[in-house]
Amino acid sequence: MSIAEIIVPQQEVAWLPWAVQYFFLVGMAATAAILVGVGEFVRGGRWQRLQAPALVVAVSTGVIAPIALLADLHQPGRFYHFYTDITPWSWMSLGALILPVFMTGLLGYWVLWQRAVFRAEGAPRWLSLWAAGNWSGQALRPWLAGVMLMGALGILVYTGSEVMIVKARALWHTEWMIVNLALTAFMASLAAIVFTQARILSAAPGDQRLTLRLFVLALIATGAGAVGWAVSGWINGSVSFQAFLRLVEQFAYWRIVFALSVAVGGGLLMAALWMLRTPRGVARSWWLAPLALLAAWSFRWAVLMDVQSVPKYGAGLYPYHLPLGSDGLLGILGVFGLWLAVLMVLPGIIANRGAVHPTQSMREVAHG
Amino acid sequence: MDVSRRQFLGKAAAVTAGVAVMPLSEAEAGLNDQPPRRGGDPNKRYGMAIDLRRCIGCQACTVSCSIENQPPVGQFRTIVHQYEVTDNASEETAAVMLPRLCNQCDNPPCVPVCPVQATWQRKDGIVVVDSDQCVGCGYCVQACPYDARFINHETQVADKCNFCVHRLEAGLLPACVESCVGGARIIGDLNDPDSHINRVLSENYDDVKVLKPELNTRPHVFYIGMTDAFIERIQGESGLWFDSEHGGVMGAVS
Ligand code: SF4
Ligand code: SF4
Repeated sequence: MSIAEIIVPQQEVAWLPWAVQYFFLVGMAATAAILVGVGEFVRGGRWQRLQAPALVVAVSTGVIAPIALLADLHQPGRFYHFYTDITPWSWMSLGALILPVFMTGLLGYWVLWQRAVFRAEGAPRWLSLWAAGNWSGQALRPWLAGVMLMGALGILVYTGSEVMIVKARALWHTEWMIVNLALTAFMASLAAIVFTQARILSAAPGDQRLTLRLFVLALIATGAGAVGWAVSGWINGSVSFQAFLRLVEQFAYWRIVFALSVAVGGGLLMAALWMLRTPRGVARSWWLAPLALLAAWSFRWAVLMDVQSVPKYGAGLYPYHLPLGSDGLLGILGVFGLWLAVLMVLPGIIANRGAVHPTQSMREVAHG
Repeated sequence: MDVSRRQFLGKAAAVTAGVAVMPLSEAEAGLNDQPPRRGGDPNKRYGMAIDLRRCIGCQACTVSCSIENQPPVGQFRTIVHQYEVTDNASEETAAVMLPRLCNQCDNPPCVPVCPVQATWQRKDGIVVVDSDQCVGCGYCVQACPYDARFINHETQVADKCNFCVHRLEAGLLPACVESCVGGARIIGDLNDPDSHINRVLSENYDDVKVLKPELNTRPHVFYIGMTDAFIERIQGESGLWFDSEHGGVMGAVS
């Protein structure tokens, strides 16, 4: 018996490209914030010198992510309903509580970190208020770092779970969704840190080496995450992996997605390992950043947008044409434009000129 | 008889025995658990039977629903899917009609995901949306395995069939049921052992099916006379889509 669809409606996407932007930016913000937090608590100058570029990445992505989230609502003006009607059984509602906690930790930490730099090195006139007064505020910093770390973990868990619990989208319905979103987010934020160090902050080669090593680690972990999902899916017959096999078997588009992922992931790894061998290579490794960012972004596009074009009941794939306006191309470019703008302004503020490092100076305060 | 079918018939038996509603404990709902039901008559459990043998695919239900509920052009709370089925041996073809709407599931995955409690299940089983409360996040649209929900282009909030609850409460039949030419759609109270729907379901006891029973959503739209091939995702040739200015409405090839 063969069946042909004659009259069937097409289901439109309910989550717009804004959702891809949100997942991309907030994942980077959370993972970069984790690196900032590690620098707060782990001794060793290298980790502390990673803080400035990681803060640049965390703050620049963190302030834009909520805008993309808001724009993904079809009724953005009603966002306050999230707080007037808190819904403890909904992952998305939980996320609406976690996000401000994370933002408070991140921005609060940044304000104090910056204050230490400004007090030690002097602030530009237009920011002199930032350093004003006698109170150093540094005693609060570990606490804010704690809030930031908990918030960042919360962001990674909730964004992954929110997608993972949707049984109706078989591909999403796997615990590996949480793991693999987090690992690719690490990959993206480390790529952005490599870039920030090399092109914006002119960091020492030794510091760049640490970041590049972490980037390689994130790439290997991402690959392991993908293999873990596939192997465990194969053994347990998970719905997610079965759905993937069906798509790859039936649709050329998904075969291309699969082949590109393997090629880009493998290529990035080989190139990064090659560059790690020599100081010259390390200094040039920022070349990899755009491709790594594109890879992490495309993973989110495939997960969120391409999966929405897989019918839940019908045959074939629904076509999706990217609109040119704010719910499509313009929105995507606008978010990236905004990010670039923040990225250009922020390092000039965050970069301490090397004389004093806030975390070290805080320890001096604490120990002295 | 395969397992899912046997499981389902077990459920159908429960339905016909009039104990369809499994009252969820009012205990606090954990993450992604069903929250307590709100409003509606706790003594009733609405359901619909659709006798495919009586459906002629005229789309009278589609039209009357659109007139009654006024979704934007190109969006539907109910529509009759149409398929061409060919027997590979004899090469004979037949048209299959499949009216689709919200299943008013007894374990509706669309409800617990909602971050602002804008959609919930009433005690009579009907799943409703408060269009003033909905923030249009689209999460429920993702969570429904039946593509029964959509974001309404005009209101920008979640929209779906609600069994014409406003008509039911006024003692009227849903628009689709009232207009059904072949009498294929039967709505009624599953808690009432003498209701028309219960009689129809027990008369066709061996031939009652629901869509995707393995997902444990416990749909309360029951199909009579449906080929097994339509229980799960259609394995076949997809319709050709063409775009309308309203975002791509339907496929039509023949
Ligand atoms: S059919 Fe979909 S929208 Fe209707 S109750 Fe079931 S899950 Fe919810
Ligand atoms: S679209 Fe509306 S009803 Fe659906 S989950 Fe979001 S807020 Fe709730």
